[in-house]
Amino acid sequence: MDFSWTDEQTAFRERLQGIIARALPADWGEKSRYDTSSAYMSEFSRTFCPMLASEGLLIPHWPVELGGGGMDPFHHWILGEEMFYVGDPRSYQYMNVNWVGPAIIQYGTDAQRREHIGRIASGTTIWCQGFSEPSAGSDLAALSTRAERRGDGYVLNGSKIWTSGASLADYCFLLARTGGPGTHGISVFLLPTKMPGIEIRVVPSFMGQYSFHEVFLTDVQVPAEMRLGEENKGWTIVRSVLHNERIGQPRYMLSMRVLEHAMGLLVARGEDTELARARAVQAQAGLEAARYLALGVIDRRAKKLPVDTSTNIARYALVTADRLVADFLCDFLHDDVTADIDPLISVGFRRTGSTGLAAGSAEIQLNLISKHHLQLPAVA
Amino acid sequence: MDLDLSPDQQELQAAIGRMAAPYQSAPAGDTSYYLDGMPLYAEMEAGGFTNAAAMDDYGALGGLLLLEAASALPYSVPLTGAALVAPMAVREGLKGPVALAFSGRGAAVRHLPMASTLLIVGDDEVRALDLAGRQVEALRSIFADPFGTISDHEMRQGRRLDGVRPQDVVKWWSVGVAAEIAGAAAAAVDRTVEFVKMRRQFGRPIGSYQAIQHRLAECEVLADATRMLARRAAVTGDAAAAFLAATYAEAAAGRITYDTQQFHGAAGLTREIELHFFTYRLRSLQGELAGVAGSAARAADQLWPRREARPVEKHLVA
Ligand SMILES: Cc1cc2nc3c(=O)[nH]c(=O)nc-3n(C[C@H](O)[C@H](O)[C@H](O)COP(=O)(O)OP(=O)(O)OC[C@H]3O[C@@H](n4cnc5c(N)ncnc54)[C@H](O)[C@@H]3O)c2cc1C
Repeated sequence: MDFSWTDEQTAFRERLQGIIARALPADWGEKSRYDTSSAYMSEFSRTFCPMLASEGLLIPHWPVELGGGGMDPFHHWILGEEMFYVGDPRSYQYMNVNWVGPAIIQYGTDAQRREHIGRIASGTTIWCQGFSEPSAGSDLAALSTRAERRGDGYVLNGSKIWTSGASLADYCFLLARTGGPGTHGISVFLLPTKMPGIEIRVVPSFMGQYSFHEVFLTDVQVPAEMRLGEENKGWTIVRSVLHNERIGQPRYMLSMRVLEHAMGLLVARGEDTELARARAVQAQAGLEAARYLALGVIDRRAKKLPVDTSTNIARYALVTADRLVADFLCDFLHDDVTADIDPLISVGFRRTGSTGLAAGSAEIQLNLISKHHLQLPAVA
Repeated sequence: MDLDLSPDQQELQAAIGRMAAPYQSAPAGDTSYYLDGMPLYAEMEAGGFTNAAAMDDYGALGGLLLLEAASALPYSVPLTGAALVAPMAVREGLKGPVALAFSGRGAAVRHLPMASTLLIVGDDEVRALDLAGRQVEALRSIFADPFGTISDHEMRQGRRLDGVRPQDVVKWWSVGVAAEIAGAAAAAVDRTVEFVKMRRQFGRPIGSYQAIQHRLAECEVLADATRMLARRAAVTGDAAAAFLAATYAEAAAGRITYDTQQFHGAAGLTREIELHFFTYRLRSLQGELAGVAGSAARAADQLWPRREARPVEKHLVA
């Protein structure tokens, strides 16, 4: 067992830190509020990502043949950690490079690759994820947005909800029903967001500025060329490319930073009581557990082992750790949390609320651990 | 970064497994509070296993693997001091088994009745007491490991170990406790998973109820995370990592004890099934280093040093 990074990995991390530090403005915290979904961050990504691309750091984990750096999963994860530490200035472009691009590369036609891959790899386009619907959350396979065959194309009707960044995005990676019920009747569409019949409404929330939207689709006419992969094979596509995302982003990086900052404030004020210190340690231990369990998943990936329930275990550990951070902030930094002035404290508090929902809810993780890991019996 | 055991370490783990195999279950009909694992200890010592931590091929993780495995047995095998703390923090060969105590706190010392040496952690010194001919009284404990008591006067007779630092002893003791909690937690969860698959109520296995599934899945996450943090602490030798691992483990121990006992119903409160070896072992380990408060105080001192020391209960910071 080895818990250390190689010199090469450390150098990669330091290079990233240097580049990020030079790219972010001095008042990054104030301006971005570490909010991935903010209009500011999204706009920033349109210059930040091309800069990363020019440094070979936007898609370093893509295969060399596709313009990537052919780097291993640990490098990819280090990239994610360093980005998340500052709130991820790639904004939602992190999705492009993590799974939208790879999905198009794997399942797209030549024309689709020509249309999308160049833009994704140069950091100039923003995607959103149109999966969840009012009646299809955890039970995503129940989605009912329909894509009816008409002539050479399809007509889309239905609605999506919770879509992050929809009003900022150029494209939506959309799931719609082209066949019968269940997982076998779903197809993927690569849908431009500015098309007749698409209406996007921001859902006011306690998350980021543009974290949640409703997307209404009324008689949206799309050519068949916008369908990704075979008809009714959407579920297979999503499962294969989202494997990597199930564990979620390295959110613990920002939470660790928040905790460090919060303890710095308490120590400076002489308010770090024994109880506060103990609770901070418990949160820190939880975050480190989440980090090393996540790195265990990355280690399996690097060794090309199949995805297993260690992913769900790591994810659940993160959910509980983030809860400890939120509890800590509310108990010991009441004034800072309520005044909402300190961007790190604010984001630390706000963000932790969504850890147990986005990318598969906490309870769904427990279901999967029970079923596949503990092999407990199903309800008859 | 490589989060699998190395081939050498895997081989060691397999060898430990073979050695421990005859001790996987209690003798039929036995209802003791604890089972004497001294024969296994003697076998491990004779085979050189208790010295694994001092060997380059294995390092501290070698000792840790022993503790993890032994703590998952119903038998009590006194390895904490001999297989981890002594090789890592004392380095001089002490006659094993080695029990561990804070000076002046000899009221209930785990493994003391089995031990040949007592390692005593003081404020600024560490002493070793050869227990041959010493007054050690075995306690009538209900926990899965034997406890004994020894007077302050006897403790003060220990030989001062020059160059051995109290903070190193407490650090490796913390790693040991975390590893033992990981082992006992895994055993408690495994046995409970088997039990809830078999036990039926309302016409179906109780393990099919989501209320039980979710809590057991949470216990599994806690047990996995505890093992990961303990192993990381062992491999890195980092003090903050050690105290964080112990803090996490101690909190997990309480939760896992409660849930695994609860899901056994009344049977979980008897000495006729083996669960109690693990739940009661977890309960005693939980507080051995002054619990979450003690370990967290030590971790906090590493992570967020204070500008001026404030009075803290001495045994908490050692
Ligand atoms: C910040 C944020 C950003 C998001 N961004 C996007 C996005 O960009 N695109 C997108 O498509 N979606 C997005 N989502 C939606 C997300 O995928 C869903 O919230 C999630 O799948 C849960 O669905 P739901 O909200 O409908 O809750 P529900 O599925 O209705 O669940 C409600 C509660 O019931 C529990 N529950 C449900 N089923 C079971 C079960 N079988 N057993 C036990 N408990 C159960 C859940 O765990 C949860 O606690 C986002 C969500 C968040 C919080």
